[in-house]
Parts: sequence; C-alpha cells; structure tokens
Amino acid sequence: MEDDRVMIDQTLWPRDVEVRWIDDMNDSAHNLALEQTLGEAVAHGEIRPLVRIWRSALAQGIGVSRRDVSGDDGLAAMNEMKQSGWDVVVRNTGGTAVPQGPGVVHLSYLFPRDARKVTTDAYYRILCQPLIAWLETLGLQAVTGALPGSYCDGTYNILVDNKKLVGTAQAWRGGLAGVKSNRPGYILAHACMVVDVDMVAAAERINRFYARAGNDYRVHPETSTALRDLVPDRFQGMTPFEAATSVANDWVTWYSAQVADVRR
Amino acid sequence: MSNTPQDLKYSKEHEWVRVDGTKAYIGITDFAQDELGDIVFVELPEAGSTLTVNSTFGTVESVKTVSDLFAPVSGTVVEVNDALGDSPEVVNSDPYGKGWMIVVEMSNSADLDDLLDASSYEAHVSE
Repeated sequence: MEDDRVMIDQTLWPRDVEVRWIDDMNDSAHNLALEQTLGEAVAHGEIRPLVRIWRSALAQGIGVSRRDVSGDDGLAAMNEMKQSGWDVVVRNTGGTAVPQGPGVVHLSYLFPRDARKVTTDAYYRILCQPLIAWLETLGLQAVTGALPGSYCDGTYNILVDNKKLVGTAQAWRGGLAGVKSNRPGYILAHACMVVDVDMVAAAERINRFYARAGNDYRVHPETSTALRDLVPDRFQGMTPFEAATSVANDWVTWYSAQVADVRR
Repeated sequence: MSNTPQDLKYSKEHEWVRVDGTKAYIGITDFAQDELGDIVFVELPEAGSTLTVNSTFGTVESVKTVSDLFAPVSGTVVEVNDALGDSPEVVNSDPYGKGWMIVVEMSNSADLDDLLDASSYEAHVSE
C-alpha cells in the first residue's frame, strides 16, 4: 500500500488533534458560526483540537470580511445583494470577498493557542503543505504565492499553473497573533478551495459588491481556476455539490492519515 | 529592537496604557505591530461602551490575520480614534502616538497595578 503521509511539522500539530466533517448545508451563517463555536470549545479544552472539513452551504453568493462591511456603503452593498437573492456571509477572518456556494470546500484548523511564540507564517505553512501534497496525488504541481487580481489575494494562496485554486486566512483568538499567550484562545487557520465554481460569474458578483460599496478593488476571473478544470475526469458526471462532497470525502481520509502520523 | 517608552504601562497582551488622571489612552505596542505586520483594519467599540478588564474590546486585522484586542483596564470608552478607519497603517508607523485606539474613563484604578512597567514588559517579550 502506498504511504500517502507527508512530513508535517510535528511541533505545531496538537497530538490529540482529530479530523471531523462538520457542516450545515442549509444555513450559511450557522455554517460559518460553527468556526467560532468549535474554536471556543477547543480553547477551553471542551473538545479536542480539530481539523474541520466542511462545504459551503447550498446558496450562491460571496463571503466578505468584517472590514468589507464596516462602513455604511459596505453594509448597503451587502443588503442590496441579499435583496437580489444572493447569499452574503460575513466571516471572522480578514481579507476580501471570496466565492461561496455549492462547489466550494473548506478546511479549518482549530488549534488551541500555544504558550510559545509561534508565527502566523508557521501556521500558514502547516496549512498549505498537506494540501499541496494532496494535490500532488491528483498529478498537480502547486505552489504558494501572491497573485494580484485574484480574489482575497495573499502570500499563501495555493496556485496551480499560476492560477489561484485555494485561498487562506487566519484568525487568532485570545490575544494578538504571532505572540505567546497564556490566555485560553484558539488559532483558526482556514483554507477555501474552489472545486467547481463558474469563476467568471463569481468574480462578477464580487466586483458588483465592491462597486456598490464604492470600493475600487476588483478581481479578475482569469487569475483563478477550479479543481474541476484541472482534473476534469476526476469529477465527470458530478454536480458542483457532488464534486465538493467528493473532495471533502477525500480530505477526511487524507487528513486522518496525517493526524495518525502526528499521534505516533 | 522595538521601542518601549518608559512613561507607559503595558499588558502582557501587548497593549500600552497612558494614564491621564482618570483616563487611560490605549493602543498596541511597537513590538505587537511589528509582529502583526501591515495593519489594514482596526475594529473598535463605540464611545459609551463599557469595558471589563481582560475582555476583548476589538480586533486588529493585518495582511496575515485577524486577532483580538484585550482591555487592560475596566471602564467606559469615552473616545475612539476614528482616524484609524481611513488610516489603520498609522498603528504601524506611530503606535504610541497617532496610532492610539481608545480612551477609557477608568472605573477601577487598581487595574493599573496589574500592568507592567517598561522594563518588565521588555523582559516579557524577550522571554
């Protein structure tokens, strides 16, 4: 049997971490709120540290940051999109708007804060490394890097063929990021993969939001790709929801193998 | 090497406090802003809000992450630095000056006793 474990940074992974698939497909706000609920439970030792695998709820729309809707124009843009029938969720991590809906799958590390000084870069690396290794199993060569013009651009985008496939973000609760803390808290390291989304339509929605909010920021759809476009045979005959579900299934197996290695 | 003014008090969560009578000016330290990286958004409470020591009073977003801000003293927020809405990067460039975040009318001056002086704070960050 092929060994599909990757060498992961054992110093940052909690030894008692577990992998769970937890999502709410009917309520996007609750789906997102679970991050905080589960994170706080992790912070207080009520549940084990988590690798949460989840799919976007079954509603087409966008996910925005609190910064995006911190002003009147942002709030008006959000309300206008909702009135037009789009789902708009406000996430607790930063950055700019991202596509949401069937065909998007998420990975969230919910780890307790470490009393040691640990950098955000270190958590980004342990978030991206296993995902890149998983993509390799599909025959894809992925790297991390910024890509101006892509949605929610950042240094730790995961790119394939110089197009964005995965966006990443973090939220540190219980104190400032990148510094040691003895306070109960948790680190959310989040990755969002576009499995099967029409990125032209998604970019149009994102740009419409920013235009209505009076913000010059725009995304360019040609900077992004979807997993289905990269490995079409893998998802033949599947709807976007089925494709995302298939990836989530794969991730449960993949991350369970990584976690088993941490526990050894 | 980060800057640690001698006339301020500090929390272990990297907030600074400048005491002016019963008021406390609050921001984050030079060490903290440097660790966070480029700050792009600061979410602060409204004037009139009540703060409890060691509870969250807002968030700060850098290009890398969002993280919580903790109140170093209890009291009522009497002033908020609205200029950070348009220019959050001032927290990076002038953390102890124009980068102040809120002013709190303290309800319990004994909270100050639990804060660190400059040398203790420097020792804390170098541990």
